[in-house]
Amino acid sequence: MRYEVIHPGSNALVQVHLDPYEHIQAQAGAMVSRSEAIQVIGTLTGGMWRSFKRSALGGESLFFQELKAENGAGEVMIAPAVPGDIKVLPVTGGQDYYVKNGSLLASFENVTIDTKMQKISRGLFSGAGLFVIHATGTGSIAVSAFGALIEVPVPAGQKYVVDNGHLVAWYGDMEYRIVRGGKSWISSVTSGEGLACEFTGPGKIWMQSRNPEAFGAWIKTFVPTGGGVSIF
Amino acid sequence: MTDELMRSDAPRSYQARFYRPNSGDFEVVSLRVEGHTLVTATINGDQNYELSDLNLELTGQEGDKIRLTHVPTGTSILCTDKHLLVDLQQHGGHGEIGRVAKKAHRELGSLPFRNAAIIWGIVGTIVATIAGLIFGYDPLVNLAMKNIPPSAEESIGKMYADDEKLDQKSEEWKRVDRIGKKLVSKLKNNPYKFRFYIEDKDEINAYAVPGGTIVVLSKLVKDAKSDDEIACVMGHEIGHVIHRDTLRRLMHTGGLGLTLAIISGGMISNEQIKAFIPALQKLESLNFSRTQEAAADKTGIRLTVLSGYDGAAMIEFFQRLEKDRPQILKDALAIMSDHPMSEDRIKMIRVENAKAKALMKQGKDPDLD
Ligand SMILES: [Zn+2]
Repeated sequence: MRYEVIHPGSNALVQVHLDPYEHIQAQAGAMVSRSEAIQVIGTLTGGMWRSFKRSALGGESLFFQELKAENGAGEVMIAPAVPGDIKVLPVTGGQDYYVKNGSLLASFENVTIDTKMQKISRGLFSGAGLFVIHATGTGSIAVSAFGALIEVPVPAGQKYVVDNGHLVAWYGDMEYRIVRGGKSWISSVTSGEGLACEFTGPGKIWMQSRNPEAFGAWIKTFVPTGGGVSIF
Repeated sequence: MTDELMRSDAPRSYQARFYRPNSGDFEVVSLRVEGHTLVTATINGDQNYELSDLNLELTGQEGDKIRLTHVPTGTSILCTDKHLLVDLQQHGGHGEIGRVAKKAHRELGSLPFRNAAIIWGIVGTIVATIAGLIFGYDPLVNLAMKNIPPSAEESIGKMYADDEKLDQKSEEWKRVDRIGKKLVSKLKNNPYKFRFYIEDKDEINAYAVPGGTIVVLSKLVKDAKSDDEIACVMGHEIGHVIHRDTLRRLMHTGGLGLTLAIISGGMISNEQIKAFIPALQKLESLNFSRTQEAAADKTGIRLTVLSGYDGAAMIEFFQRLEKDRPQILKDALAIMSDHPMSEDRIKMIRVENAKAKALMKQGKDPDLD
């Protein structure tokens, strides 16, 4: 199996070469193209229960599609919905990753993906989203960003604060707590400074240069209102 | 050590992540415990660390990672295999590391129970969603309310009280605070830590924030003819707090997502908080149901009388308010407002005031629920 990010930057996609019978997991709907040998298998990755958890609670599509080289070697290309960069991160040495919902594009080799529900352990208002994706095992994962994808190493004992909307992925070795961006909780949320995650090293964080929530709000200012209210 | 002599097999090795000081990048290493040293096998050869120089703690999002810090150099080693703790326990002996390893091993042993709790949270969410579709939204709000401890309610109150427009210094504030403290001292089994504030506003009103924060508007304090009048209003707001009325209202405004997140013990997103904040900012204009208002009146008057104030002052205060209001506004309010009509309200307050006073005379306390 070989995989690489082509056209890195705002129009990135992942190109994967599969040897016979190899397969990858990709976010449903992320497939751009495939060669004849590649089959799309709609298996419920990780079993029915896991897929259900992901779809009902994680906001992911029901299927993390399995793309398999059933009829010989082949090639497949995958891309996220939003314009932005992609990076392939190695899953090795027992290091697990947490990925913000929707930012996990694909997993390669023996990586298990599962949905983790976050607990309100630090008060009522904690939140990078209710659910995050947890990736474990050995292999690689491809994460996608809205805009550029920035990697920040944080040495042991040091702290680093990232706005919730810009957070993409982080090492499972890290611990984080929720802090506010503005003066008060109310000003944090209304001023758009939002809530932020304060990570403690050692470990690494990946963040995106654009905040999708903020971008969505900006787009909305040009759209005539009358739309429905989202309830979940 | 005897058990070391008895062991003929090679020491067990563990996969670990090795972070040099000042680096967020790791190297994959193999660890083993030999005697009183921790040996890490890296690409550049073995490196030994005295067990007594290591600091052990559990870390990571789930608290399931073993982190060893070499204190003299600041090197960090992270490992997920909990058997390492058994080795450290055996070789660390009676030292600090042995003791900490034993405790950490016990903690890790209880992790599966925590994970089970998460699964139940998910099941709960699904069941609650289905219940919501069948029975509507109110039972869900009630269920969620049960899952919000007073401490969480208090954190909402603190969010609100962060706002700089609230006064907690002036002479007027001291008066309000004194009256408030006297009232809440009479509450039995009170889980809330009450805080009183004055907000500078040209309006005769007061409102309650979840978790025991009560805000009195400055004009009310200026216009009140006695402490009794202020006490009646504050007693009413305290009633809203202990009945958790504001919280209930906010839950309705916050939407299904927030409610479900609370039921399931989940995390709440910025979007959900955003939906919630406008309501929190307009707390004073939140409308309670007539039933909620009547209940707050009842508790408020009883508490006022119990604290030695005159509950009848509420009536005088009302009547003065009514006189100040233009007729057209009165009519509009009567149609729109969920507050009980003033006539009914006055009648009820009069009855409650008399009942509470009579009970007190017999040496009994009125019921505050
Ligand atoms: Zn009221």
